[in-house]
Amino acid sequence: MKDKGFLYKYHFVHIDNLEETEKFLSEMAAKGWMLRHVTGSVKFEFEKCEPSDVVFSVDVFSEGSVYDTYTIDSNLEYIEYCKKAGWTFICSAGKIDYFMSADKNTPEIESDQAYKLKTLEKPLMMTKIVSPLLFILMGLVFLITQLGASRNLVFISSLHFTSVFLWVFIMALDIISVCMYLRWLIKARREVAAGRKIPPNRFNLNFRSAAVLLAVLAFLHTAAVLFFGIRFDEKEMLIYPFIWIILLFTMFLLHCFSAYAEKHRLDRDTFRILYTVLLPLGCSAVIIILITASVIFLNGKNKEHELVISSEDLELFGDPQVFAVRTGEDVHWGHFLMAYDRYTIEAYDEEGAKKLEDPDYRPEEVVVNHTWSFDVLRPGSQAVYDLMADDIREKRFRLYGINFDIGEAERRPELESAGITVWNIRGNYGGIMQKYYIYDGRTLIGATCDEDLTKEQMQVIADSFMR
Amino acid sequence: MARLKYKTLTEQMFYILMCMKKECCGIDIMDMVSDMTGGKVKIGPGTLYTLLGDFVKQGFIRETAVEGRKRSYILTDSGREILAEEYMRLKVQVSDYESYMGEGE
Repeated sequence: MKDKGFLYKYHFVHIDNLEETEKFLSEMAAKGWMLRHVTGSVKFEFEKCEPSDVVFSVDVFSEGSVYDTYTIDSNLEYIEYCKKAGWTFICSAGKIDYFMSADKNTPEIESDQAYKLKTLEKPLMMTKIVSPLLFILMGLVFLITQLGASRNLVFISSLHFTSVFLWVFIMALDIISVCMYLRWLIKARREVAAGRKIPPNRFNLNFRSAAVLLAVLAFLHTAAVLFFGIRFDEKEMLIYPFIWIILLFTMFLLHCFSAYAEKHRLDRDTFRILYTVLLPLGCSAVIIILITASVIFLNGKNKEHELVISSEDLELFGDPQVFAVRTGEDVHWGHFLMAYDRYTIEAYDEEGAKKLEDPDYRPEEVVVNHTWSFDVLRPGSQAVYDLMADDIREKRFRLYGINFDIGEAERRPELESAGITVWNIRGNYGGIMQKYYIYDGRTLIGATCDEDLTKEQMQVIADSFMR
Repeated sequence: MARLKYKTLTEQMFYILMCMKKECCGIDIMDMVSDMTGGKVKIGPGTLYTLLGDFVKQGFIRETAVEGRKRSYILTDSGREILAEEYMRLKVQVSDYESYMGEGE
């Protein structure tokens, strides 16, 4: 069997600049690649042929459907008309039909420019006006909720920042695109009224300009991320430059691969396996490995804090009914911005205390009489520490990322003298809880506790951290 | 509305409508126009297809037969009317030209 060369190429079809696609297809034919099939107005499949000088006609079929235009009866009839005029039908993709002719004098499929413009405007309305506007609207809703409703949220998360950044970028791009389209439309209508041809809209993304745009986006985002990452000591932000490098590298790799296949005439199956399976899988594997490695690497840097309370101090948590007190299970979640820990202090009644003395006791048998549990937030960087310290000095309540509660400062003179500020908070924990901030000018912890702690009890916890 | 839209027929519309004086197959119109004008006016297949659909909608022509994917059409009275109007318009233009430019000579 003769070795058949197949080639996939990506090319963006723009309804307001179909001439560009026609030119692209003619150039491919001149290089010895004949169009065979188009998928989704992006992916073009070529078959090896003798280099030939042919013209293409790429036109929107007005009654076409986005899904399956070819089989529509009216399209088949339309194709008959085009065949009669000397065009060879190649394929349909979306609302667009692709025709080819070896004769350069074959009459244009759309000879009436006014009708052609009318046919083009309908699908363009959707892609150039409606969908960008929807994106702008979505972006606005997103920005309002992120920057408006949560303006008190000190959530200097890289993900938050990145999403805001991307949305602003997309919105700016959409606004420019809508304006440029309307400019083109006015110009096209004027040209048609004057009996001239529809001018192509040159403000459109092709493969190259999309790559440039992506590179610009990557550069801007990386610069911003590095700035904030260093400013707020948020190490997770450093992952983004990696992701950008991998993404751009992948695109470069795909481009090289496409050029290679074109040169060496890979057969279809090899091409398909390499292009659609191995390459994407390889790239995603590299990305996943890199992300996982960075997370493990960065997480390893988080130091855990152990609550150490002397047995004498533990007695502070006892009352006449309590016979033994000890610290219970601790939970630690590492965060780059802030470490989050949950501590419990358990008190036992007489029976429980007795069982605890037995070296072989089973935890489920021991009845806990009372539990104090509190969450401790330790700022992981100087910037966040300064922010929280300022808030405490100025008695201002804010939400600190992982704590989504609303509350107000309450005066507790007996605790204030010990450098402890208290807020009552309500929120997704259910009920009202106390939030304590302990601050000694050097170390700062915020604790959320199930119930009121006395000055002495709080001081014991604070001492454990201040050491 | 129809009147407003087709106040003047374009050259291509004019020739397409003329072809359907007698019943004829839509697909043959391209060749007929080309023959009629000696290849001066070329109708694009896409434009022809769209215009035929439009003319049927406006009632200038009507479908007479469907044979597979070949449809035949014939002019209706309102089609003849609009064609005659266009002819009169062109005629006025010609006579205006003659009377004015002829005088000048």
